[in-house]
Amino acid sequence: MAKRFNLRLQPDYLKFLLKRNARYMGIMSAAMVTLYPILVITAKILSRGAIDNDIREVGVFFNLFLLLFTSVMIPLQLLGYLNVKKNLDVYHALPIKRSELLLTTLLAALIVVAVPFAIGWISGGLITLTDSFTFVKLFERGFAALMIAFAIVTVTVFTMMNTGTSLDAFLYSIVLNFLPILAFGAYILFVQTILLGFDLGDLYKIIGIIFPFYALFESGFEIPSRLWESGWLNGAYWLLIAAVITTISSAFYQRRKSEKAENPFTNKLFFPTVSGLVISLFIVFLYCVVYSMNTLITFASYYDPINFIFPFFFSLVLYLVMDAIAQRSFKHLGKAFLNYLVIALISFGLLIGGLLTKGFGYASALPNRDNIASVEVLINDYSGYILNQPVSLDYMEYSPITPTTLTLTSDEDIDTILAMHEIIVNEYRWIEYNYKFASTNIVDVIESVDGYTPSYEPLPFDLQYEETLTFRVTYTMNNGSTMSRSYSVPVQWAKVLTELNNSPDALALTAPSIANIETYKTVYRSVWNSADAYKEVRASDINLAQLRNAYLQDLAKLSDAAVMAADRVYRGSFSLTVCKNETTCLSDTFVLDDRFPKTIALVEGWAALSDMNLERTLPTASILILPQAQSGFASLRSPLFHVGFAPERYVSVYDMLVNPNLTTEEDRDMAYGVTPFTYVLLTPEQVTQIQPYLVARGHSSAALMSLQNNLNLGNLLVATEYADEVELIIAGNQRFTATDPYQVFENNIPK
Amino acid sequence: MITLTQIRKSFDQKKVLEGIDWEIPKGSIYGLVGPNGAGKSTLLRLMSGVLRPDHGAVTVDGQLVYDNPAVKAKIMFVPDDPFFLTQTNLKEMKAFYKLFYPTFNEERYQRLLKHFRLSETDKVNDFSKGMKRQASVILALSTDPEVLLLDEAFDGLDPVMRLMFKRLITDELINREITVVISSHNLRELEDICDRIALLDHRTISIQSEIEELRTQYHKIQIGYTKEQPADLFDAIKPLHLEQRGHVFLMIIKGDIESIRKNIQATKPVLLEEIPITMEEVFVYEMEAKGYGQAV
Repeated sequence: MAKRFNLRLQPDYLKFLLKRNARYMGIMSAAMVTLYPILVITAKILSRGAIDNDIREVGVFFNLFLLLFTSVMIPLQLLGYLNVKKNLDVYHALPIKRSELLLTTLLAALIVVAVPFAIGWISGGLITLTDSFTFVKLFERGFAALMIAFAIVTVTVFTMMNTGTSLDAFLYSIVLNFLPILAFGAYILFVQTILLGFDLGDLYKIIGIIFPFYALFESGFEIPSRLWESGWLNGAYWLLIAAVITTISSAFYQRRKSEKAENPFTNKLFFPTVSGLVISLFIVFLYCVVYSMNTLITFASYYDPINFIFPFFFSLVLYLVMDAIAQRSFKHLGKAFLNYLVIALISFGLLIGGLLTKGFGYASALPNRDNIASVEVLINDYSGYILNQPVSLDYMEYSPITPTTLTLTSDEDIDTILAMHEIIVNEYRWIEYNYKFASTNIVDVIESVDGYTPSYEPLPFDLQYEETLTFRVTYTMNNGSTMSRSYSVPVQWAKVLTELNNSPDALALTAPSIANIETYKTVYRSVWNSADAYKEVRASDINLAQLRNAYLQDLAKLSDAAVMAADRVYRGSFSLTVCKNETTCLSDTFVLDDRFPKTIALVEGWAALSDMNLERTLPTASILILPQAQSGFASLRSPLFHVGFAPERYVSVYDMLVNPNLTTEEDRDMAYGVTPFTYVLLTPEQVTQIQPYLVARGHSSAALMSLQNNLNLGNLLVATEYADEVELIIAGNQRFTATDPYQVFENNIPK
Repeated sequence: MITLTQIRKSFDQKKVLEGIDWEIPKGSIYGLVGPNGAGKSTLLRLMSGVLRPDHGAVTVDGQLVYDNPAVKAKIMFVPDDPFFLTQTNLKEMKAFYKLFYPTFNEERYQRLLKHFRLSETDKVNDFSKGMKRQASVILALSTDPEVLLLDEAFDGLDPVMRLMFKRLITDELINREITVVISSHNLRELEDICDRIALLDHRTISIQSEIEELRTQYHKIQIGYTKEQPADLFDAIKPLHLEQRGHVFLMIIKGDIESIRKNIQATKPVLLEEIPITMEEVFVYEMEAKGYGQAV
């Protein structure tokens, strides 16, 4: 390769060009040194302290900005002969092949761009080295920045192969640099606004590989979100891009018509192609913007004429301006208008085609079950209704659930995921896959459609507010291809996902401490807390593999229906902290009820070996909130303190505690309604009596009583089948009524 | 030998050259003439490799010119609007040409510089139009080209410089077998220096011939009668140009002079005299016969 380039270069002409541009390089080097190392040193002296990282980054920014400027301008200057006919009469008559002339001039441009930057970058970098900004990083980032600059140079060169004046070359090199990001923006906006289920994933990371201006600045700084962390790899990528563009430019140069110099375009297809692309992308982009702002909520809102009017006129004006600049005249407006109509017709045609076919079948597509090899699914169940994830029994301790991607390979699990996917597609079908309804009460909207029949089995309780979960799935097909979708799904549709709770492949979600015992193999601490015992279990007695087997065996016996049942008896909690090294540990609490006999037996056996009893303190303040008789609402999940209030009172105490906007009682009443609820205060003895009847979580068609106290034993519900026993225990307690749950907890359960 | 075979060139939809077949023998000085916009400069640019023909081939000694450094090294094209690098002087331009033309003759360059009294270190930007033309010719001749293509070569030169320039070209021809093609509107200038002439008209070369041969083909004849004659008297012999002033006709005609004389004698003139014809007259009346300039 090097030999090939050696053969094609004209070293003497290269030297000649460098000599002629030596002064420019000197001035640019001085500017870069002034704005980076000298700036940093000045700041250091003024502050009489260490080098400020912020100042360093200002210097880096200036250097990169000058690099960007010079990358666009230098090729315009060195290849400027291309745009003047009398210059071409000499240059193209010279005894040198066009490809050699181009490569030699391009190499000169790269050197003129690189030398000042290298001087500024290295001198600035060397005086600002730190533990995190090392010598290697200095060169790694500098390499990446230079390669991106080279790519920008080649974009300008490519533009010059198609344009005939420096003004057009400059304008269109900017347009070409922005074209990929415009295309990306239009694409993202279209798929996000229109395409139900589109999975954006890490797509945003590709901005750094399609938009060189952004990539240039990104390369100089510590950006965690870039596609490639390695500056060497990043630089190699842009070098490849530069090489490809140079090869294309060289081919274009062979055909570039010298006689077209001084005309706006030397390639008659260039303007129609670029302007057509720009206009088409603007049409899609603006349609999506207008559509997303359109408050018309009907199934036909995609086709609301107002969505099309602004994009049409804006892109029309844009095209006419582009055409007037290209023609250097307004006389061409009539023809330009006709050209625009053709572009608009094709663009709107494709857009409407995409809308009518719901992204050419994208929204309604489901994979063929026989072709699915495995499924990766990420379910973010914010509400906690569906997935049996580890919980904190402390109502004041809020641990956001971290969604974990599960890889599911069993037929049963894949069927579950596909069933969920089918439900989503079938439900959205009633509203023509109109994703805009996702932000409204979509369940009510769909239920109001004539002839609607649900495709899902409902949860055994109603939800007053629209609760959603994120369902992101990637199918890997037998042939290795993948299909990804991402949805925000109403919790009501997701009952089928509860079947995952007894899947061994879902342990990472339901029991993370034993999901990966090969990595997290060291037990740091464990505590068994039941009615009979409250003690720390010796780590040496615990066998994680046995625990995992026992738990899996218990899970295997659970039917899909039983997995989230509320009619069970709480037996105790087993808290476990496991570590993979000295600093990385994870904690988990197994809330065990009578459906986990093997696990309980194993843990109780280990606990029996321990004499490390812990002191149990009975709660000094407890309340039991009673379900409202008139309420059909029975969403009873205690961990986040969602309690069985009447529908309009449904509220999370955590939400209330952290919501700064609800500072007064009036505010809270406005937010949560004024329906009173009933509660009783419990004595510690009553709490002990009630404890056997508690359950940590579950689905119930009837409202359950909810217990909270000032110890970590709170946030529990009274199991469905023991409601009568508990009623008997509290029969003599005075009933209180309140409308503000916040005040009740504040007044009665001090922490 | 420079050979153009079936050359076709269009600028967008506009056809500029069509079906050009032209051979330029080695060692000749060819004058290329034609009306404004006939395509003379385009033809020279095709010959120098600046432009690529849409069809056909331009070769020098059998080798294609376009994008062929080996052939282009033998050719020097001096365009009508000379090019110089920005903010440059002749010294730097010399360095520029030396990069591409290993045959650059320093001794000749210095001699020509002295001859034309140009400063090597003055900014070319400060030169007059004529000085720029001189500078471009100095640089061109210093490259020792085998083929010299000069577009509107005499534009901007004063009479002394024109003469000096002609002598230079003649000297080149004498000293070594250089082939020169000069396009110009000034036929009198070409007549002095060229041994051949080509007329570019209606997108093609309508005449290509040695000048002496042309002179034998075209005749300027004055004919007098004792009484007035009808205007269509000579329609049968198809003169290129005919002027009638009373009893006297002035005729420009192409063909065998003996046969022409015989036809005129048949009309019994009292005066029949052949007057020397200039190449400019040949060009003007040939073009007039093709309809050029008649609307004016």
